[in-house]
Amino acid sequence: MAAHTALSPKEMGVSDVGSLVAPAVPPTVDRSGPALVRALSACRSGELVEVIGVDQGEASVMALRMGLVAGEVITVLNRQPGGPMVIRQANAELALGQNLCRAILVKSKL
Amino acid sequence: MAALATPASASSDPMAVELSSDSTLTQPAKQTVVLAGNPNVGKSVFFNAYSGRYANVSNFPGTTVDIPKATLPDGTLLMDSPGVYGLSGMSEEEQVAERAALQADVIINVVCATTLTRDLFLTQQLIDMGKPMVVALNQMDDATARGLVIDLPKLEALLGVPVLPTVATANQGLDAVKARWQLAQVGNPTPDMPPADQVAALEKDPGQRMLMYGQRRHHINAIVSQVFQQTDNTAKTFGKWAADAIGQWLLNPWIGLLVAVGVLISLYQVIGVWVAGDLVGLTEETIMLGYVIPAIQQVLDQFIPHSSPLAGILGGEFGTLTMSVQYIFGVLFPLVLGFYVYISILEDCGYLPRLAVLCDGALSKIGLNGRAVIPLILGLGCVTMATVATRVLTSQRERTIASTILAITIPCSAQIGVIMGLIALAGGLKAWLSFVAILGVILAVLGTALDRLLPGKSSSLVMALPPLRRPQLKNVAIKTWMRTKSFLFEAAPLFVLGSLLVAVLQTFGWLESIQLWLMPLTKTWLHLPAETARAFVMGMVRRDFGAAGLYMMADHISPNQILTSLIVITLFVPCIASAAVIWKERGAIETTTVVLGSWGLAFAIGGLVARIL
Repeated sequence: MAAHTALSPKEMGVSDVGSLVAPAVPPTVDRSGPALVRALSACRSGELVEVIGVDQGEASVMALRMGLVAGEVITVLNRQPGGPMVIRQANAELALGQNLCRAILVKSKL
Repeated sequence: MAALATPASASSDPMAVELSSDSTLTQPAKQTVVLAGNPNVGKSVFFNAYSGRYANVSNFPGTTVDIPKATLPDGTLLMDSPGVYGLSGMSEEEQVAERAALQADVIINVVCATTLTRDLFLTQQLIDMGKPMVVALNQMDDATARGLVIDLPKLEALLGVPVLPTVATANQGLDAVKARWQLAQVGNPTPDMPPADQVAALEKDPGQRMLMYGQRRHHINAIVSQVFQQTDNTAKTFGKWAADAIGQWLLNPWIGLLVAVGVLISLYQVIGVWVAGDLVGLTEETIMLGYVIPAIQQVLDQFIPHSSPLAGILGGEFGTLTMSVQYIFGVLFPLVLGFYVYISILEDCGYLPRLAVLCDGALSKIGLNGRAVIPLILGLGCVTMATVATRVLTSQRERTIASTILAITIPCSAQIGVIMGLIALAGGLKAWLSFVAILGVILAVLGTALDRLLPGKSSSLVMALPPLRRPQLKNVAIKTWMRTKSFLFEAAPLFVLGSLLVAVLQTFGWLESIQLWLMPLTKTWLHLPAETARAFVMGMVRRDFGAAGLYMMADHISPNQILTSLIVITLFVPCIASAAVIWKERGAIETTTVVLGSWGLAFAIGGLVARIL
């Protein structure tokens, strides 16, 4: 109990969860570095990316509900002019508005 | 206190119930069972199967905002609830779903087996609220086809509630779920959660919510990783491949746009030409004006002297008994029916969510998101119907923006038919383009202004895209009928009231005074002949009456005058019925603002157009 409540909400929602679900990758192996971290909205159609966190209050509530937490691997299926994107997450296709895509931080997988 | 009142005790003498168990002492003898789940998981199929009635079974997320209820033969009250991903009162749907969940004695949580990670979040939230539950793991056939293996006994043990596999659309497992209502259990809460009765309240606080959401997500992902396996054992059929491919094409901006234009053109052909023209011609002119209305007037004549004011109010040109019957059954019924057939087909095949994605970028510029495409399209059919449909939007802010845009800028199909004819007289393509461009600019400016002026921020689109499938005749028929019926029940009294008002105005000569009073405005400001005032007043009663009024004098006014008056009449107040619906849905202040605003806007823009052209 103490261990959980000591963490900030963001850590609870993002980093902590990811370490559990994602295949255990020691942080030292991650050579992509912060340079490759970008918003989902900056990704191209067809890219395979891994969620590393969510940047904004309301968006993180949504992301926690949908399971878009650190470690989750998603495919960008489509991006529309003017904002919304369609991603494939596990077995489902999900459309996300531009504001949400800007708040979701990802890094390239592969 | 897991087990609740049995059906036997529920239907027997209340005294016996009180004696049978202390846990039922404070409860009514009747048990309330609530269906809960994410959008589009098949809750309504369960509701229909158990109740023998029909809720909307749709392939469009977010169609249930009102709660369908049914009393089962054993006295159980069964309630459906809107599909939500979580319960924290963040939208009207969530508030409704939460209220339903809190009322429940037993919750049947319908979960989609292919998207466990997402769906179980709500499941765990309901468990944390301490409600006895049964989980129906639906769409198991789909999960198997995708090579997903789920360890049911283990899932049941980890959640602490019964989990039953179902394929609701094929009626598999529904009886088993029903048989287990009585065995519903309070599940295992997320570790470190506050007491169950405080969960719902604590999650209203943003800080607490994030903390609890984080713990819950952590817990659910741990459960899923233990019970869920993706194998390569997938059944790839041609149908599935084709549905995926078409789904991708529809999202391509160019192909998607072409398809959307095609859909709108065919919508216009079906609703605007066949239904609004040919079918309404038959129902209104031939059947209503030919037989029904004269019959009503004949009957009236026998009881009320023809010259009395009452005769005018009940049976005159705008008579309550005559015009509302003529309008509701002659015009509105075929129109709304036709529109709902069309929308239901689009919805059942899974096209609408894709259209919502295509439109999201543009709509987010005016403070709406992709979901608003549904009410806006419905508005081309009937603005009254569309105003009711704004209930699917997430926030009050979005509903205000959408209903204002609908009331002011979207011409309804009753009007479009007459407008078409007039525009042909005003100079064809050039007039058409000017008309659409002017309305488009007004829509954009109005939407942007509302987005800037209204406090708050509109919500971003979050929408699961269901797989495309062939529309099913039965679904389409049921949906169309249910919607048409409920719309008519809701709108008919308002039409009657509206026509009563106009009949009173006309009988006592007040309609004439309004026309006289408007004349300076029409003549000096809009450069239109004085009689157009009459068309404008008629436009308040029925928008197409207004346009038809213009049609009659189209011979002796210039093409530019036609265009001016068309723009005025389109922007001009919503018809009386839709004003009444706006009042009911949005309240008095908003209605007054919309009506006065549309008057001002209509005459201001009309005057400008008259001077520019």
